[in-house]
Amino acid sequence: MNKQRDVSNSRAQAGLLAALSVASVSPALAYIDPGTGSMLVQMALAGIAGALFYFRQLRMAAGDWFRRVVLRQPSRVVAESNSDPLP
Amino acid sequence: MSGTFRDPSGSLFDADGRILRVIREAEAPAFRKLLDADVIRALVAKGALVGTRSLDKAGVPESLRVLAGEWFEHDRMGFVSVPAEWSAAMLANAALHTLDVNRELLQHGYLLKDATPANVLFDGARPVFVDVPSIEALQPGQNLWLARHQFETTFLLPLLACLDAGYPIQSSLSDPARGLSHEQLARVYGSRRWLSGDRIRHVALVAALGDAGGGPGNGRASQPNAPVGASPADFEKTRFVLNHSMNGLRKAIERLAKRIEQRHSHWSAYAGTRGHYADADLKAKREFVERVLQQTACSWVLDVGANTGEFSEMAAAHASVVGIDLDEVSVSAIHSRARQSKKPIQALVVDLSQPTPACGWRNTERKSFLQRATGRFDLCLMLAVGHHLRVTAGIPLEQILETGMQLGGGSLLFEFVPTPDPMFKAIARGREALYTDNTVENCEALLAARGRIELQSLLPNGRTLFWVRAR
Repeated sequence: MNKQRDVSNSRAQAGLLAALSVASVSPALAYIDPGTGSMLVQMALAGIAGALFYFRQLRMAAGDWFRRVVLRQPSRVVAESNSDPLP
Repeated sequence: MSGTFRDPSGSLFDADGRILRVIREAEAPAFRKLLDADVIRALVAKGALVGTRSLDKAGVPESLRVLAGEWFEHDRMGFVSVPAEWSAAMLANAALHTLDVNRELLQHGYLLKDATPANVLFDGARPVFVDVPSIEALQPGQNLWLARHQFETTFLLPLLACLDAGYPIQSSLSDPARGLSHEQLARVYGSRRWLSGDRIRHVALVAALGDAGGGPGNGRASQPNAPVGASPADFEKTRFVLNHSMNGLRKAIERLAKRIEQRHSHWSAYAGTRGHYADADLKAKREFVERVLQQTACSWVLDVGANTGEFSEMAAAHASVVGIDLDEVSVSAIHSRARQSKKPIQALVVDLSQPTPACGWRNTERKSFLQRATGRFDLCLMLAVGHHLRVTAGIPLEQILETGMQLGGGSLLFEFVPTPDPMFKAIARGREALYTDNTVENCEALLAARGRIELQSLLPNGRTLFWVRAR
């Protein structure tokens, strides 16, 4: 019974990792165990959040285009600077 | 002198009361830069993060100078508690504090690399994050919080287990770095693990996908490669994704915190049901305790059997207090009230008849409650608890008094409950004849042998209050 569960667990893991890994991965220097199951769930949530982020950016860009072109008002988007604001 | 060893970046030492940390040479410059960061200074200023400063090697005790690396000193916390002693309210408080600190760090380009209750200590009822080396710089594209798994197993799952299954935090956090695994809690829930959003998200799904078992990706802490030439937009996306992830955790903890507030137990409802104290008894008892608190110049008080925390709160007007009781629900209530009123009370779940043992590797990583308590307090209160220790726990009266005197640094306020007392008879259940040492004369003689009885008062209900001080 346990052996069957182990085999089907690793198949589920393999399938999900294959589906979710879209970029090459590199090992990070975390000394704590990040937990495979937790990571997979988090990767799925991160995928959803990433999509939400792009949707939000798209919506803001579309709104700004409408404001500039149709309503002829000044753009509200602050120009992106190239300097890294973070340490 | 042995220090901590789990974090590869360095070790922490308790050198005769000074909390010293050595950081490896390779990581010391980054650590010094971290201490200077605005966000760190701000967190220290508002008491959310422990104060840390650079230390010259000359300031390091000789026995430790041989260790390679740079030295730092931390502010010392008044009383160190271990997560196994925390109530659910305290654990939830520490969880939200960890998430708050992480969110603040994230805004400024940092992140916690681990998340366990062992990284939080309490100043009264106020949580303070103490594991400063746990803070590392955020990498763009780092869309996963690697410490999330540890946060779940050490904060969220023990809380769920405590509230849903009555599984004590003392058990799930016996190793505060490992906590309770998703598989263990899934087994406790059975098929009910699929019956709520929180349980599905945080227990069932993770347990179904396996946890450090066989399979690809196991053991590899993988992150997507940082895009070349990371821009502020990449950081913004990373922050958005991580905040989204942490908000889910935060909401789950907040839902649990609400449930914690609504609990009650036989002991937490005690104050309303104690018919064996008439108003006159309570008034006399309160006056006695207040007199002792005013006459003794104490700075730390231990309240054994704190129950509703009434006398802890009275003592908190004069000193810092640690209140202990074996009922977790009562301790949670004391903690919540102390947090709201900002009184210096640290309420812990400790059964004095079987106090927290020394734990960890070679039983030296976490000191026992008695080791931590010795020499800390200058008054010990043992109100309405002596008979529980005598009857329920079977500890002889002499040893109860001896321990009370030791814990109180030679000053003990003891409420003696005689055998004919209704509460004594209720717990003795017909076996009163066994407790031959339980007489007020014997109690008085035992106390007089250990110090001077400064104050003594017989309450109308037959109980006697003693305040004794070692000569």
